[in-house]
Amino acid sequence: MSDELLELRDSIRPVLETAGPAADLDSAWNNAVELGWFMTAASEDLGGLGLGLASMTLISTESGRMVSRLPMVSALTSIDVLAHAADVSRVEAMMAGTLIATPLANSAIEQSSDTLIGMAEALPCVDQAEALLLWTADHAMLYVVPRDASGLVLTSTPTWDTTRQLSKATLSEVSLSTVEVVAVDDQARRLIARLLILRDLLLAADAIGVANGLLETTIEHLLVRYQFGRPLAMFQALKHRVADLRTQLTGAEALLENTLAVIGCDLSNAGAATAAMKACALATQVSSSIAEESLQLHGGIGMAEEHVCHLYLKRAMLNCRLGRQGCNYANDIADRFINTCKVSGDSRGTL
Amino acid sequence: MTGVDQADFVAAQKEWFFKLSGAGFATPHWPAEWPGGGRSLAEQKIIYEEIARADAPRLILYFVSLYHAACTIMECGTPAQNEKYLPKILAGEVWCQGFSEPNAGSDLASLKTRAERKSDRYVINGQKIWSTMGQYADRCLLLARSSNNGPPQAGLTYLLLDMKAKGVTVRPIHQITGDDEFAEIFFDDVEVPIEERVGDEGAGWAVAQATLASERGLTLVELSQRMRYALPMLVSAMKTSGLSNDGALKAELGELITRVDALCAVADQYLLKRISGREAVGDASIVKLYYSRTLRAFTSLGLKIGGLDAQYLTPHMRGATQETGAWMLDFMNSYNWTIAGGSDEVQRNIISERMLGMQREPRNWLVEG
Repeated sequence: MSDELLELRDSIRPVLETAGPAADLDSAWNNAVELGWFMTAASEDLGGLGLGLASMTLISTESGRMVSRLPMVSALTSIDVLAHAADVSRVEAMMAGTLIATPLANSAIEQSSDTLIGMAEALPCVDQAEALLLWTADHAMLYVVPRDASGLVLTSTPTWDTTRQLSKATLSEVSLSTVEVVAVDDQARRLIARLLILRDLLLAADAIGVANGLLETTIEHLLVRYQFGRPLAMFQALKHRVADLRTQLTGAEALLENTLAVIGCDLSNAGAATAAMKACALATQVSSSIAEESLQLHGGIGMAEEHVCHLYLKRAMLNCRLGRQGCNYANDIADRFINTCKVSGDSRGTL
Repeated sequence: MTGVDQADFVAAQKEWFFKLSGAGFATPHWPAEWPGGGRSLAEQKIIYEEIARADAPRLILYFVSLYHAACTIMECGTPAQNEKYLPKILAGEVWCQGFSEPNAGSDLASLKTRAERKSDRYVINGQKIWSTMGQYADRCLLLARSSNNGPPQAGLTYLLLDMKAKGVTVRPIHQITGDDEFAEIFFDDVEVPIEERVGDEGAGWAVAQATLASERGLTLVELSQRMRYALPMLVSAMKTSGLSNDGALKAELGELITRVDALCAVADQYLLKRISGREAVGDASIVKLYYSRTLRAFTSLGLKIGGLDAQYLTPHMRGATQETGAWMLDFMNSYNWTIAGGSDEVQRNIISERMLGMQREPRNWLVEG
């Protein structure tokens, strides 16, 4: 991690830690705006920090680590994509705290003549949002849809993860005149591809933060909880599981870090989409394994609502279901790999 | 059963060693005054990545001499030892390691082979085991007990032993794979001149740490890359077995592909940490554990895809790689990595205790009653 990034981390972490796990959204939002966290998603010429993808994933990681209510994955993704669409005034407003929410799962909109119909899932914090960033299923159109557009219905259904507030957007006959077209055709496809890659990377980062926060809590518990006259941490049956979890987590962290290094700032890089899928798949899976094990390692107290363990568990489980294809990442990764092997026709060294 | 005749194996290793050293790629980690030496860690990494990419044989016959012996002598040896042995190593001398014993595996410091000082020499009695390529070795890096005083680590002395000396008996260990890559070594009043001692008497434990640290993470960079390049073997095996469209297997493959990528990233970043001097306690254990578990996952998936066919014996080449596509063989060989060089369980102790600060188990065990 570069000195600049370390400095950024050291400025973010204490703020989130002081507020505590799953702290109140409004004050967290004010902090994020005042401290310029949203500025990580834009280049310097647009008034941002210009620290690149690594600074965005860092914020997402720190936010996951404190199971923050801030909708960082969605907010940073929107800012970055609109910055790449050269929507200067929107980017300025968003860095100053305006939220344009983008879905954490599918957006399946269709445009028929002059209206939009369809739906989008897992939109976070729509109550705070001014508008939504949505796209058509064929990736040919990208829109900003105002929250108060006529024909747009937002349905909020509580999730087990209480640190996220997700809504479903249903569009029935939303007039094209009430929405803004951000991009069409090739430009839209490029921007949407970027959006999906970035969202995977930020989800991976959130999952890594969740995993780290929970593993730290779990180790702390094992160090201080005594049974049979000794700390639980002394039992090999327990400490070896923790060592395995730490090892898996190091793998997920290294993969995300290498992915960021390989992709650089060029998300149009041919392998970027697959690489981001892998980073996301591994991080969310490892995070859910850590959540599963941590609940067991906490014993009874982990089942109590007053303890933070469940906040992490629920967020980790939800994270696994967000992103592009829910649970099918592994199959997609295999298919892509099998196709590469077919093209090269070689049984070894075809990567 | 070995896949190839032993003489063929030795000949092939020898040929490859001289090809590599002739081209200046066998000793990149040696200082610049030696042929092929003076390469930075970053350059060494590239050399190993290319060796992996070419699926070239691993120099298993020479690994101990080029890394363990050479680095130990360079770091802790006398000028005379440097002068005497390094040219011999370059000329192709084979060395083996005499550390583990039947009752000192994970608990290495409890070893019992005696090195008794008698005027200007040590007299060695005892037994070593799991000595890689011991049956071909000219010399042995021997860790033996010269004193029973103090903590177990304190009484150890490090010696360079001539395998042709009187009283040395070597017996290859026949492995479950049919190979015999390891040997037992028996010492019966073997005399070692005092000038063959590395470091002070009783300082053997510290010297042994230098031996074990000598390959500096490069082996795991190489092996991770080899595993990555071997992934298409699983795809062609699925095709051969008619399982290309098996969704469950595909999901497992997708997970493994991702994990192998992560393994390469872990090995890369570990090496970067070493280069920049940021290595922390436990980092090496994480890489080793990540590799060994991923290799087990790789070979288990191969075994599953290989089905009944993988249960039939097929000829194989020793020392080629961990991933030969003879899946049952590869599966059994993967245990080399979960057991040798500090078992998974030892790595988990190091990670949990020394990295994560979890309390150690009490050291003493008393029989109740």
